[in-house]
Amino acid sequence: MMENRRQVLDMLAQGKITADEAERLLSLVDQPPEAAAGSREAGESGKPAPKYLRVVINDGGGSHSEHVNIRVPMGLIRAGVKLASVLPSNATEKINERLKENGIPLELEKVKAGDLGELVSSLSELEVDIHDGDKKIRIYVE
Amino acid sequence: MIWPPSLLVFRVRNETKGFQLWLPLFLIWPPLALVALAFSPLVFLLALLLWPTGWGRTLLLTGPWFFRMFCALRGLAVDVEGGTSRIFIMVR
Repeated sequence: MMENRRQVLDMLAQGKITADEAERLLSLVDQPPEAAAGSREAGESGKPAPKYLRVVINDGGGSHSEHVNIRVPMGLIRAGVKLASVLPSNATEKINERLKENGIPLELEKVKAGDLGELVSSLSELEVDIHDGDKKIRIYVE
Repeated sequence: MIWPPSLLVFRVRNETKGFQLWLPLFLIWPPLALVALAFSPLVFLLALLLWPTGWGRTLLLTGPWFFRMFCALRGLAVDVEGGTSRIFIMVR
């Protein structure tokens, strides 16, 4: 940790970074490793990275009412996307064609796990709330 | 460090009957690891044979991908209730 502090101060002394940038870097260096990792995942917003996608459906309150409560870990979504990198190019071409036929112009080989990290962190703002009489649908990340 | 899930809770209930299962997944890790180890030479050989077709790489990466998916299941929870019936699945 001391080495990192010295490095930041050296960079400031050499004029490679501004005082504000040095302050920000020093505050990151002072954080415990877990907290630093969390803030990196959180990105610019400062909110913690979302861990789960939640889908909650409540269909009225009677005796025959239906309730659905699903919690999907974000890691599962990330791992699913990584399947695209495992598939051979001739298979992804066929999948792309079928997706296009069904109105989804998506090119699987262009979907990268790194891009997904950015998408997932931007999902922290996602919240879908639908009320229709007694029925209620809520989709959000936590 | 990614850890595979250690417990699966499965509950089914209807108007008259109910069934509950607590499956200690950590007990199946060692046999699964042994099976994976036993099959790995065969997988490597098949991957080498299939390499020119493009499926060799897929075969080689499928094992780690499944392991990653299995590990990512940790935290999954599905709770569906309709009338007097209910299904609950949770992976820890």
